Amino acid sequence: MRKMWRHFGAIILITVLLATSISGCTGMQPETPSEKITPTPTPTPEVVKKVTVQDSAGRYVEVPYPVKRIVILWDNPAEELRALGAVNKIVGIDTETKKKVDDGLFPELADVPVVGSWDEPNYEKIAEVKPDVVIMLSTYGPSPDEVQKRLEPFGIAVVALDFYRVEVWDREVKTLGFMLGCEERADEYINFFKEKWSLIKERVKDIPDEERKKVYFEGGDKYKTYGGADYGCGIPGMIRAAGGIDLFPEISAYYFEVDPEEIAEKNPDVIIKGTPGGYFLDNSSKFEGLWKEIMSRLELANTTAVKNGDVYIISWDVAGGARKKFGPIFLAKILYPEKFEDLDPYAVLKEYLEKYQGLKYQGVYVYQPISQ
Amino acid sequence: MSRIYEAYSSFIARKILFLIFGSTVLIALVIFATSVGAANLSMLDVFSAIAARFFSVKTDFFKYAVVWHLRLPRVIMGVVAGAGLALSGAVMQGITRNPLVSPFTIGVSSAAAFGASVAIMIGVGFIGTGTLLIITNAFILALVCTFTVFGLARLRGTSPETLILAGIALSYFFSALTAILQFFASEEELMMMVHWTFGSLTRANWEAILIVTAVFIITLPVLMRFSWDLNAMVLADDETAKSLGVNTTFVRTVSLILSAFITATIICFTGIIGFVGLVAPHLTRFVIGGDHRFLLPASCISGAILIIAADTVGRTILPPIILPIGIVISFIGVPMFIYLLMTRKEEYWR
Repeated sequence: MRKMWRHFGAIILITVLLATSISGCTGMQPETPSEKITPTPTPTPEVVKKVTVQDSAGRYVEVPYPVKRIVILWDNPAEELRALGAVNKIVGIDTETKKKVDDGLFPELADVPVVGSWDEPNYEKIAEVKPDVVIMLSTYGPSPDEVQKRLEPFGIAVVALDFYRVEVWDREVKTLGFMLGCEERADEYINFFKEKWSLIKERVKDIPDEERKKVYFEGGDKYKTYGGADYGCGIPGMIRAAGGIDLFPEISAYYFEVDPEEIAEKNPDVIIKGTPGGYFLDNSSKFEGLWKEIMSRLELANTTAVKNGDVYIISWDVAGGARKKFGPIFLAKILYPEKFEDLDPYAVLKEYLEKYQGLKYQGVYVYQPISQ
Repeated sequence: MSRIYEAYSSFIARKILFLIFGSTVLIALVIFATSVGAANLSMLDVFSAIAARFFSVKTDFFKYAVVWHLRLPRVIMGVVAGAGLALSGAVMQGITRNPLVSPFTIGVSSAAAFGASVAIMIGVGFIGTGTLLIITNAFILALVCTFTVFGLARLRGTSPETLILAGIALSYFFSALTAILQFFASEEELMMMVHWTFGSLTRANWEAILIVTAVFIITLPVLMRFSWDLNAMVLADDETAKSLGVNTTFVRTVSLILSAFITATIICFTGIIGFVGLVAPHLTRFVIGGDHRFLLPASCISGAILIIAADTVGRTILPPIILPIGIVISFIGVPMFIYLLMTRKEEYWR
């Protein structure tokens, strides 16, 4: 019996090793954004006015042109659609978006029906609201192909666009603008961010590797951080875009628990912790509490970050979801304040909220203070 | 003598009555489940859409697609999956003489989840979502697990305890392997793994129904044939059953493989829907007793009722949000189960 166990165990182990080594290979060669998504959608013949776009899952999808009715299965597209002046084209939303609507962030969508959740869309309801396209995430919940299969008989196209990775954000917005037939507005909007990102890139490009700031980015849970290999969740990409170095570029797990000793050993120059809440806060006491907790961790007391007081709490409202596009701007200011004296992230945020989102500027986003 | 005969007849009549009553409830439930949903369709719309497939009835395409593409696959898959899982549970409880056993206690679900995870990790890069690969792999691993559990138990003489202990051990083992895989998985792969294990009837389609139904139709008569043998095995120990002429090893082997076969087939398409396999046979046993000639078909009916009821409640209680079927089954099944557990005085198990 023992022998049998051993054989069985060996077979399973080999399977595991094989599986991990194969995925390890793909992990070592992350797909470049240009392979993942192509910005140049090719129009197909004019007959029914349809165009083909490539989405963030690498799928080619034929959509009516211009798209008039949209169902969204995550809140990121709602924000980007509003930025492109097309929020009124949304005819169905998921439960996550509904929460934001209930918070008062999307008054335009107050009467738009819910069509299920991102992980369990109600296909009947989606079919009933008769959208041209469903915009969903490429890497969460059911796969875009699966959703497409369910909705095919109703003639509804499914496009996966994430809007949370700065690496491909501009291509995604371009694709969205193209489908909507508002390319010019999309270009103008993309440039709003790209000019800031380019400025940052330009100023940090000459920093030698050994002088670049090493950043430990912690999520909501203590000692849980983000891996930088593979498609990722966008956080490591944000750090890199700001000229910093993420601590775990070789790990593909997107969110994992790390040994505190490892963090102490890697000695980060800056520690940043993300947290929910921001727009609706009127004082920084919550952020201050989180900051104090990190500063008081004995195991981190000897790190450069804690010794120099370079510990920051950042709101997901400027570093999560569709707001990851602000990540590089805030992070650059945090990491290299001397290089970005003229950059005011709050002013950028204010302009964005007022000009593109129709929201008034308010809230607390970073602790400790970083700007005038 | 005739009194005994009469008593027996009325005893049997009660069971037959239960079967008839159960089938009627199930049919009513199926009709109801097909006529409710997020899309605003009247019962007449639904019937004319169903009829439109066979006769030249006028219906609009939207209604037709909702009924034939979304609702019917879901409901029919629910019936077959519930029946299959309950059948599998009833048989496994019988052959192991243990009320705690269900297809999931012998590790089948963890093994299938591991198989699917491996397929997702290897397959995602080069063949799209690779649904076929995932299903095949899950199925193979579920069978591997069953054979391993059975092989291990056989080495120790096929005692019910060994079967269960080996099953529980393997279940932990496969869960651990899956957890390790999930750690190395990228975000996309992780989400697919989690999504796959999440039990739901949403993924049902006609091909899946065809496969599951075929397996069910092959399995049920064979298991029904073993009813008397199972009765003998449950009522006494193996030695007594053998002395009554039951080839216990053969019956146990074939039943186990068939139950694992049907479970694996079902969860490949629905993800893991637990609890039905454990609870439906018990609920049935409470009402009609442990005679496998009636217990097996009646369990199928209760299993199907439980799943359809749970799915329909899950779809309609907070529309258009679909509550996970596992949650709803617990809400419906547990109170029923506890009620019967507390109100039945006699030892129902034997």
